[in-house]
Amino acid sequence: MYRNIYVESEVLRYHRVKEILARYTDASVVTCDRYTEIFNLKSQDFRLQKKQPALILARKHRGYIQQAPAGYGVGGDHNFYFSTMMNCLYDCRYCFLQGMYRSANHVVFVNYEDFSSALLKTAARFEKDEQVWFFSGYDCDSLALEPVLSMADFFIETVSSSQNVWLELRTKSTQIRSLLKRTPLPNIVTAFSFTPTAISEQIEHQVPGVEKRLAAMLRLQEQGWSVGLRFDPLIYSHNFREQYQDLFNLLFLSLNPDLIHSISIGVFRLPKDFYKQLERLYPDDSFIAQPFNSRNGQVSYPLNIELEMKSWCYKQIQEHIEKNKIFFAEISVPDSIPATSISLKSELDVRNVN
Amino acid sequence: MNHSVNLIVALKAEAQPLIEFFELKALPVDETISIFANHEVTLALAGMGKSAAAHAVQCVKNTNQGCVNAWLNIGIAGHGEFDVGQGFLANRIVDQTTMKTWYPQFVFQPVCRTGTLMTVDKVETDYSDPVGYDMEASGFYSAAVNCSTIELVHTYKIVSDNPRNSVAKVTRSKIDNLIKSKLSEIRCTIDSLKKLTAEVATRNSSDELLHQFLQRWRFSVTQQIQLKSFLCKTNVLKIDIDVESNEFMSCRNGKSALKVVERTVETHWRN
Ligand code: SF4
Repeated sequence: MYRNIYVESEVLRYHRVKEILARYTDASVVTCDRYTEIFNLKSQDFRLQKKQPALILARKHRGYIQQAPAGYGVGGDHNFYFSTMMNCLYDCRYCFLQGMYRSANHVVFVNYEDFSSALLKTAARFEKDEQVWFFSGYDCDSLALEPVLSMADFFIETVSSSQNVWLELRTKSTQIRSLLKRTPLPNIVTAFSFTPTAISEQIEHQVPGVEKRLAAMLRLQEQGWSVGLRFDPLIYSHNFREQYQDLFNLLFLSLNPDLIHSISIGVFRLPKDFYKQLERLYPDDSFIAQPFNSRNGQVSYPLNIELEMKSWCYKQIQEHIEKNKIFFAEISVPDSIPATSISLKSELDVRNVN
Repeated sequence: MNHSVNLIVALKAEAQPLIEFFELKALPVDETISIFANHEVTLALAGMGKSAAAHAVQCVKNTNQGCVNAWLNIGIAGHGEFDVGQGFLANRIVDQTTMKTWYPQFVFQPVCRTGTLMTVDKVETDYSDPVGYDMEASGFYSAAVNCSTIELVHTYKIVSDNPRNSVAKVTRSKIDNLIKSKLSEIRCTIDSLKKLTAEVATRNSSDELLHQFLQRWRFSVTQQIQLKSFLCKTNVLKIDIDVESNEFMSCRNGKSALKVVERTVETHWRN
């Protein structure tokens, strides 16, 4: 799939790099000093690059583990995230990565071992009875490139012997083989994101269909893995109730509720600057063209629509799942919260991917 | 929006077969170099060397103002490994003097090989590395990426000399033959770039409606940007805007017309 691969000379000899390159014998391989020479250039066109992204294999030198924004979690005591990859195979029109990076090329930091030691070191700072969560799939999809990168496989191994260290693999992919070949672990949650079929087909380009993702979830559950559901971002349409009702029915009537670890809900939202960048890249796109509102430096639906969607979806979901498994990833606490709405957490988390 | 693929060529012998093939006509422009063009391709005869190539880019940019431009440096090159007659697109350009490096980005499938191109100040006769050697690419590239997004800037070279075929034997007619032998590769590369520029141009096109607004009212620069963005949204969301309607007829200035457009777009949520 990759026709152009850039490799930092420093990682050229890594076994992992050799394995990846062996899969792309027809690709043109170019060595560079630092990935930033390619990735960080000013005058790049994300949309053009999305046609044929290059793969960049690099080494990360610091900042392996980051504190997750407040309220990002799904019930844990401490939340962190890590990104061994920047950018994604898929092309969701609402994705914040389009606004955050100038380049659509896929950067993979191949020194997983450094991430892994930093992760364990971070976890060791806390008591054994505290849940420490690590979220992958912040700047990429956690599983989409698993057959090539074996990233999930590696980090599952990392946390496999720690009881209080939790790993969330957030994804829209169906590449679950590295999980299926293992005995299920209670501290791994594979969290799948969904929008209703009609919306997904319109704005989640190249993403496996809703039914396929559900089939992957069912296989994981059958084997005993716990899964998560992420309705984030919620996407508005005039008939959003019918669309989401169909989606919820499909998911909740198929999945085993006992093996659903958590559900999170959040409306579409982007930092203003990211949204402006999307307007520049996709002026001809009907999703981006919508007259969104701007609040607290973020662009989202008008407040009435945001609240209506959240409270309606919450009501529907709680008919299937216990309330304590439902979480909100929110942009703002509006001045007046309708009585129907539950206590919304105030936070400025902007990342709504997967 | 108009778009053009601009060819920057150092030598007359390299330019002539291209001028003939693309049926380019000399432009009567007030520039220090000769520029030829048809409706889709512009060619500048730059002269030799990095600064000449950079200067040519600037001249073409001045000529094609307001246009989405792709840039292709075409010419002959020495090579430490490739056979004479081999065409290649640079996937890495290194300036031998400064050791500054650029990485051209391919969002299309190249029709030929790709490889490193080293820009040198004096003709290379040692061919010490298995790379291409030319005298323009780094000057061309660094200037062109200031005028366009990097996916639209490329360098195509045809090997004229290598360790087995001395540069001293490269004649005018040999250059002519080399270029002619690769016209189909050049054509394909130009076509790929043309498609990309057309895509970017369509994306940024402003329509007739904008023109009507600008004719009727005065807008500040900021207001024009906002207007363009709102009109673009009405177009994509298929919202009708009629400048002859009563609402617009009563607008005394650009600001109030802009307000009406904004209101119209916002009603989208209620429909
Ligand atoms: S939203 Fe998630 S799946 Fe979609 S493109 Fe972004 S990272 Fe990939």
